[in-house]
Amino acid sequence: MQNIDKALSKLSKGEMELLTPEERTLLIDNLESTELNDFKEIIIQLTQAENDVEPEGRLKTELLQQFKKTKQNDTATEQKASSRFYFLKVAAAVLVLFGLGATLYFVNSKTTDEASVYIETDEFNQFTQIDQVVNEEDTMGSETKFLMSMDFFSNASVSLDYK
Amino acid sequence: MKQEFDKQQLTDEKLVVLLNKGDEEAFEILYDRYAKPLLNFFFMKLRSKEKAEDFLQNLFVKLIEKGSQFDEQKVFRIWFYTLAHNQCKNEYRSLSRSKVEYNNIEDNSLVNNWESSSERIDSSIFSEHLNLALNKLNDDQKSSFLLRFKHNFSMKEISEVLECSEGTTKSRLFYALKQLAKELKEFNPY
Repeated sequence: MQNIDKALSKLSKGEMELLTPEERTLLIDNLESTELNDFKEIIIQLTQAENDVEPEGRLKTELLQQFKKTKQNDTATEQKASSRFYFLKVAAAVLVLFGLGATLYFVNSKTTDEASVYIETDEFNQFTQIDQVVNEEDTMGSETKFLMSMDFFSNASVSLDYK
Repeated sequence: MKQEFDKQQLTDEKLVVLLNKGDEEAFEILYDRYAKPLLNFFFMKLRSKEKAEDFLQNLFVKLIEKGSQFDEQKVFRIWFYTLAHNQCKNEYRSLSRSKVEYNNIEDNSLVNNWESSSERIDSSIFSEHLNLALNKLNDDQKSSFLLRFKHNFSMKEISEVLECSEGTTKSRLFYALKQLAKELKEFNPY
């Protein structure tokens, strides 16, 4: 662009001898392009005025059918996905309930076991206490017997000499 | 009836939102707005109406299936044309289509039968020549030319569709027009 400006400036000053071969070519091209530009305009106008082709009617019908089909499929897929999600939710709820039930059952059975063990221990303790009482009673009985035997010996005036 | 009127007034971006929610009418309005210009976009690039219709169908199927990927903050027209342009680009990549097709056509036969005169420019013959000339351009130059002069996109919009700078778009347009003028010189009245 700068070259053509330089060439045009030389031309306007009449300095033809100063024009380089490239600048001469540029000027010739530019002079030609005045006509060329007019022709280009004609090409553009003819291109714009060119008869257009029309799409066939069946194309619209086919595309509309495809549109309906695709949207129906999309809706079906969405419904499927939501029902699948619903089933998943139900399954999860069942699992949670089952888990809760199992936990409760486990906790409950453990308490019962503990209770029975406690009862057994209690019973055992009770029996042990009875035994202790019996033992105590036994001890007391033997002590009484001893004391009584001591009384017997004293009453019988038996003296025992220890050397 | 009132609702129908309202929907016709809605912007493309709002219609896409409705479309994603399954609104059939929104889809229909978008189809009516874009089917014809996009069919012509494909047709000018692929030079086959059947192929262009296949591409158009694929493009709208993408809109049905992946419309949710559209960012509402962006311009729908640019997003949709970017998809269309990329579809053509992939086609060219996989088949090197433009070259193969162009080479298969005896383009000179038409040119040789044509007498250069501005008065005798026949739109149908010009159209055929224009298509042939367009196919000599590379894909980006062709898209730039069609988007600018056939679909009235701004330079900025073209840059967004083709994912390049505005400067690149301008230079592509310049070279596209230069090349077209060269290819169509038989029609030059000057």
